[in-house]
Amino acid sequence: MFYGINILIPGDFLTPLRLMISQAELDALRETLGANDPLYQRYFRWILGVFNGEITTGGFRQRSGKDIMSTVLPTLQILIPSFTLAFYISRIHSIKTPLSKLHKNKFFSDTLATLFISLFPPIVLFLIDEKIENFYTFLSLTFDLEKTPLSALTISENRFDIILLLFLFGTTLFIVKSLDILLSNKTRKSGFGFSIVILFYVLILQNDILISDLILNSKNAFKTIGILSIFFLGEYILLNNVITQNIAREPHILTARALGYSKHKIYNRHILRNSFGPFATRLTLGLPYTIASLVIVESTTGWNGMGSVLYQSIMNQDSNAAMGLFLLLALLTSFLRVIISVVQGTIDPRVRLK
Amino acid sequence: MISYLLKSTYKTYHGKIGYFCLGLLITSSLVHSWLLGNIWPENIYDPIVGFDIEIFPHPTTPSSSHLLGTDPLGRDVLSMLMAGSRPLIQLSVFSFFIGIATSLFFGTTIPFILKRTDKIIKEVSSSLILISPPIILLILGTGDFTDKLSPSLVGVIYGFMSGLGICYLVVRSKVIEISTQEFITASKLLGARSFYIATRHIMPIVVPYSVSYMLASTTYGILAYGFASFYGQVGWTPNWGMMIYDAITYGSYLGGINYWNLLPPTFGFILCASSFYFLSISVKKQFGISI
Repeated sequence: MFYGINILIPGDFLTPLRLMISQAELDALRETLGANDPLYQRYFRWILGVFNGEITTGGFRQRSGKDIMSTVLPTLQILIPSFTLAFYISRIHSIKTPLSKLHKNKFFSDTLATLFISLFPPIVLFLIDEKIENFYTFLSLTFDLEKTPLSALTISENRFDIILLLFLFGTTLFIVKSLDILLSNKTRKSGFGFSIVILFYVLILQNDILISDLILNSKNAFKTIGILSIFFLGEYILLNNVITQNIAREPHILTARALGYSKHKIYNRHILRNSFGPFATRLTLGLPYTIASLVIVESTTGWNGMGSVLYQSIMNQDSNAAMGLFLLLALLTSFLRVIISVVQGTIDPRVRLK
Repeated sequence: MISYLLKSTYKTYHGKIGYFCLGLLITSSLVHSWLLGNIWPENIYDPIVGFDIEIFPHPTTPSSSHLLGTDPLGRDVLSMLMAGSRPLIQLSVFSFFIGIATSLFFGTTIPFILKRTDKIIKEVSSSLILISPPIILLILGTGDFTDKLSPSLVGVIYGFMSGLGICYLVVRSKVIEISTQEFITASKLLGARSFYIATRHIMPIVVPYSVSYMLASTTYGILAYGFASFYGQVGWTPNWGMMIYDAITYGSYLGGINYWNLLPPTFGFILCASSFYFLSISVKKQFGISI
């Protein structure tokens, strides 16, 4: 299937060379490297390469397999915080709605959510870009932040990426949990403590140079997270509205209300838990579109994740790199589907029984 | 079934807004063709090569001759806005109907009649889920394809991929659920053919599922096409993506953003994408679809 998609991409792995060498030389190179071989032979070579751990085989390469693999962490750096941010913010409206009105249509919030979905990512970037730039300029001037070349840092690039992921996740979790406290939402506060622990590990236990670099590197990440969250937020609000509306109409909620259970107890124990099943199902079904939004949003902000590299590969007609990325995106999708199923099974005993 | 679907979706606020937005876009596209042929001189108001030599320098602010002003290349923004709706409408309408036809026909008949083939198609659909249709749309917008593929053809491909992907799986799961119900067993006992049962008894029940999913999927198609047009991948067609790109890029060269250049295409995108999503919500609400 992936190889089939690869055929759709115009040109082959030698096409980028057309500007550097003559057509005759290109044809000779194509012949030597087997680019003119029958499709099944090329496919066989590729499969062999994948099993040997090289996902972008095929002679001349613009990007190696290692380059492609190094895009996974940057993608997770924005995907996980965006999901966290959108998921928590999407619940706020339902939490704030009185139980007696939860089963009714929420026209205003539905409209707002649709507006979020329809917002064109470059426009969102245009709206938030200057504000984030100003904020980071203020930070740099106030705390004397300077960018150090990654090579000058004593830690590996991978470790830096993991710490950045923790920093971004910790910050977003801190923001949403602080929002919960500010809005006096009676939800679990354990997430707040968890975010403090993560930020303590990143900001206190690491050295100053690393922290300075982390903060400066997070500028573009927060722009990407902002746009991606808005994209997700619209969909999650709508989903939450429909699901909570349906659950609020069920007899066990009416019984709980009649028995005099408090609102937050009914919401947290009965509505929120029961909503996870349909939410997870919809999330799984929407994964291809999540991946597509990654491509659009990452390319808009220039974030060096799987999405923007895939887009660049397609544009540069670097079909091998594109195919490797397709494979990685498919693996990521499958991995996320497994995670969602496992979590669904853990939360909902009915799924386990099935 | 279609008329019932139209009537029931129109009853909700979301449906009304969705139909209104869609109607507005289709009308503006039709009106543009009429205006360009009858009232507007083509050399000034053509959305791609039009230029008003009587006004200088461009871009200009809204005036009586150019209601939404002109862009940095001297083209009329209103004309570009109205013309930009056509490729998106073509793409969305084609993808929507092809997606529905594909998912309903294959999703209803194959799991119910051809159970062995269903196992293969299910696997194909699962693989299609791993390859996102909007990304395919971006690939189709590159290189040699740009000049060969019209928005309607891209819509057909997008619709086919969406219809055979997620939409097929959703319809299939519902069909399997329905096929064990008593009324299906009763019709089998009464001697009805499998194809008859699939098309007359099962299909009407799963239509809302297919429609709501295809409407939502079309929204993403619109955004992906907009993104492709933003980066100039869709050739010389009038489009809103390029308008936004021009407004942001040339605007910054000219010492500030021209909001009369930026806001109309932004509004157009919101109108177009939200119309389909509003209709999708409306179908979901009216038919109690929670996933």
